[in-house]
Amino acid sequence: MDLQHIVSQAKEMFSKVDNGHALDKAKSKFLGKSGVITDQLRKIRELPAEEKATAGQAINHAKNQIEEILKHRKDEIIEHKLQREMADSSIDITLPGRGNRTDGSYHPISKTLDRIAFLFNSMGFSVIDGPEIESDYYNFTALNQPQNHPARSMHDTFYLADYEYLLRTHTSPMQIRHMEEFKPPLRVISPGRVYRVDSDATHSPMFHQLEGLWVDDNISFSNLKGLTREFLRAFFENDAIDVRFRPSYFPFTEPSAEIDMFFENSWLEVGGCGMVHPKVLKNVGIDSDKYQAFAFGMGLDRLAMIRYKIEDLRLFFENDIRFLSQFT
Amino acid sequence: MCDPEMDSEELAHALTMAGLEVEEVIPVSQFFSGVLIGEVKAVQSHAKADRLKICEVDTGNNEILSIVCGAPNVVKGIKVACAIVGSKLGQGQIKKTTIRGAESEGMLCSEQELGVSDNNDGIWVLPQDAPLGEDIRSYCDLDDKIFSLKLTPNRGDCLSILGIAREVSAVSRTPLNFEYEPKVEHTISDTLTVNLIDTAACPKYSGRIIQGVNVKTQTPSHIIRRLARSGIRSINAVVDLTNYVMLEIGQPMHAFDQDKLKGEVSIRFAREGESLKLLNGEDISLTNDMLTINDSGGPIALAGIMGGLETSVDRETTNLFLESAFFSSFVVSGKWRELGFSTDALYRYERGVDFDLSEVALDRLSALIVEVCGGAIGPVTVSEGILPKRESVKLRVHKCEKILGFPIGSDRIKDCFKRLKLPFSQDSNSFCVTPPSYRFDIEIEEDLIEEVARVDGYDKLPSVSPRDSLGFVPINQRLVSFQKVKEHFISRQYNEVITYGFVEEKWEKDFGTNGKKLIFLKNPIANHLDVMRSTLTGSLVSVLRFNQNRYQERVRVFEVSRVFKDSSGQIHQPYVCSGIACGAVFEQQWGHKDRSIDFFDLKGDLQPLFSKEEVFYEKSSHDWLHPGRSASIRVNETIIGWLGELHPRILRKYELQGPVVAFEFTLDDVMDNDIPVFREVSKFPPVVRDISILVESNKSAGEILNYLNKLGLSYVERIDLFDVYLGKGIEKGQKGLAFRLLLQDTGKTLTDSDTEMVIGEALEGLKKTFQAKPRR
Repeated sequence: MDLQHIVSQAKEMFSKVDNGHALDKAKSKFLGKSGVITDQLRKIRELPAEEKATAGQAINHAKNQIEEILKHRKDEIIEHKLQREMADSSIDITLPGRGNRTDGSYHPISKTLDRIAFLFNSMGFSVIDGPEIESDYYNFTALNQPQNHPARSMHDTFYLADYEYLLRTHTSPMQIRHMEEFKPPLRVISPGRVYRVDSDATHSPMFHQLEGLWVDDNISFSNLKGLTREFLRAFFENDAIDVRFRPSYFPFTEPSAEIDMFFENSWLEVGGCGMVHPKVLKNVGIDSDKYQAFAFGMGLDRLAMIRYKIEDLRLFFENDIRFLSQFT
Repeated sequence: MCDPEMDSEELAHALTMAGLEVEEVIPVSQFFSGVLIGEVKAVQSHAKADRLKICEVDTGNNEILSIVCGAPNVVKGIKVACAIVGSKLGQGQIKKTTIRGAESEGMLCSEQELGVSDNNDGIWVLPQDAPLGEDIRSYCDLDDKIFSLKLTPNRGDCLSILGIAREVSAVSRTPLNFEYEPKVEHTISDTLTVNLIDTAACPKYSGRIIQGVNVKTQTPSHIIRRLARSGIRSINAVVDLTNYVMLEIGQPMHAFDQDKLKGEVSIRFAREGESLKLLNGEDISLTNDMLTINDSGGPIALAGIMGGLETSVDRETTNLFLESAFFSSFVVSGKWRELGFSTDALYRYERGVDFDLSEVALDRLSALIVEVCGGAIGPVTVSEGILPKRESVKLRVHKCEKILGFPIGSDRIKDCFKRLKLPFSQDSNSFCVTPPSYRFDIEIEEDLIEEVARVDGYDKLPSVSPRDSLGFVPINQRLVSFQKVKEHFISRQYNEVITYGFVEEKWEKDFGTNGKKLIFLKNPIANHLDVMRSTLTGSLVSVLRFNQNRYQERVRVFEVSRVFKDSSGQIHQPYVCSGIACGAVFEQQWGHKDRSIDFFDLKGDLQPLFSKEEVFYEKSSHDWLHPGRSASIRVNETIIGWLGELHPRILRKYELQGPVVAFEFTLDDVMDNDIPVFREVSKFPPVVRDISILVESNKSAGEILNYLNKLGLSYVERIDLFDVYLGKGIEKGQKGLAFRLLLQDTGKTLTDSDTEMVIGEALEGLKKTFQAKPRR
């Protein structure tokens, strides 16, 4: 029998089956105990000795060919099956992912504060935090506002009923607490909640301030102006922002200034600042001839309102989740 | 007093930049033109309309106009504001018209129509002496603008036109015209003896008698107008003129009815038990820190604050005793708080009044009173104690430049002092300035540095970025931890909220610890918001209700804030984190079964926060929580918080859609700053073994798990509770629990006998402690 014919028969037969079982059956027709190739091998014995080697070689070659074809076909069938299975198990990848689609959110004031803390950190300021129920000493007296000082009427203060304490009207008490505890040079910011008896569209009885303090031997009023300008430019990501100092009065700074910012065609007041008053430095035992200090305070809520274009302060404290969710 | 070449806008800007903040500039009237002063010569009723009248009006140009008018107060003989044909009013122009058949050649105007006031009850009736035909704008100074200034408390010297003029003069380099020399001659010699007893409180007291005045005289209309535009109501001529001079030069003065005074006048602190009826009708009991003016019968005025009613000027008064004094600021400071009211005098004395000006003011007032009310003037008597010392203040040029941060130079400093008219002397590198009698805010070098910077112009101050050597900033671990806690909840869909620190007492009672002392505010913003909160739960319940009322069914919010607690008289202000949640556990979707958030979702939200700690969730009772679905959170021996479902009673009371779950824990207790220490990772294969047990159903799974974890079993890397089984196949009163143990050793592969020993030990322990039976 023509061996090449056998090989092509096998090839044809293998290609007609499409599963492993049928392929095994087809295989046995050629390579099984009574398969065609096995048969041929058996017949070698009957050949003359000088032909045996050549015939054996030819048959083995055909056998290898068939095995090769078989292996190839086997892989094809497996691959084919896999393809079919995967096609059957495909999914609609456009369906939304399982679980929740959104995150919660930081309150816009927290978001603003984080940003500010990050910026000041990069300028070498550390962040400190202090009590909201404060003593009269830290809130007023140590800040050069003794009892009955007319400047006290600038803040409408909440007092506690049964204690000698008040709700801090500004974050400035932290200047005193920090300078009492640490030696200069100092560079800190202190953000937090403050309270004043005042409530309308632009005033909330509780609001947020940011206090800044820098004590060093060569820090000046011009540096204060430079720093506030750089800060506002960085905070609003706008190098066109200009800063104006306007003379003002705070009992704990001298000279004092209001900080105005030129933003979208008008001057907006964003805070107050000044060189720390020598009496304040004296109260905490810092020699005002050796050290100079400046301090500034800004309204966090106001900065948040400008940044996020929020027009009514009350939205911050209503906590409507449709409002809050906008700050993810 | 000072007339700079500036328009209103420039002037407002200049004042603001000098530290006298101009809040607003408002024209006293709206724009209109061509409105003249007219006289109503005759009034006839309109034939076809009951309410209308036909008036004949003379506007002084030899022509009588016929004008139809509907105002109820139009009568013959009054002077009126008449808009003639061609006048412009608002957007429109007055034309000759016919009103219900009658011709009208103009319009009689109300104050509202001219934008002068809100009065629209009738037409504007002018004083009888108003000059016929004059333009109403010039007659009533309607082109004036009102500047509202927000003065800082250190600038008491600017509480007058004179003070402001002084500033304008300095910043605009325009001369100040103000005559300081007293120049009224006295015509009678009557005086009243004044005894200064407390001279520190009243260093100077000037007085003068004026006799024969007619208080019934009408105050000149331009003075009434100026007072009104400054917010002061007209009372009578004498009071009006006193106020007028106070506005003009800043000296508060008082007029007594001389005939009501008995004997000599003395100034002293009140004695306990004395009382005084004030001009405003209030009877006050005097205390020994109140300075009083007295006659021989006792207190007649509260010095620097208000006069007494008994000795006040009334319509019958003919003889006056005028007071122009300098009271020290300590006499009045803070008194408004005790009295419950303030006065213009108090406000000024508290901030400091020019003690050199009392006689000038007295002269100015006397002259005006005689001009308006007549009378004869007596001599001024001045009683003087020790006036405030004017200590000169030194300014070193180098210090000034160091503080300001730029080389301003002596010449510019000198120029500023000159412009401010501050008396000074100069040497090579410093100045010596003597504060004038009207400035009480110049005490130290820095005060002068501010004056220099201010007058030179803050706009000339350069912006210089600070330079410094670099240093690392210490990390505030506390804030970092807070931040992580916030991030944790935000990644679990909670929105951060911020709520007020003061709350309703009801909330504290419903959500606070029983019987604790509440911290009340003395002066709350609203009566119901009067307690400092010791828990955030009340505030969050309120936020939840606010959102549920706005159709938000799925809400998760949290807050990180201080709370306020009294612990044996000391106030503690720890930070807590609190949250509340309701609605579906997942957003509406196809991938999960829809169900409401429950206790275990909440616990799952909390657990990862405390993963490194020894944390125990223990059954506990909180009045506001469902007794069977709430727990305390304990770390080591400290209870740090709670979580659970809100009590159905609370849901009803606060009108909430349930179920609602909430939690709160103290943040300071959660801080974890330990640095992790490396442990070797095993290279050998792990062995997994399950333990299945039966226990009584009231035994808590958490306790059993804790027990296993603390048993110290060898090779055990972790233990998970993977099944809780009740029902079919389990006896009533029992439950099945299944734990999966992962065992591994770093030195060898574990043998069966190794693991069997561990499992045996675990089962033995569970049997002994929890009467657990192994389950097949």
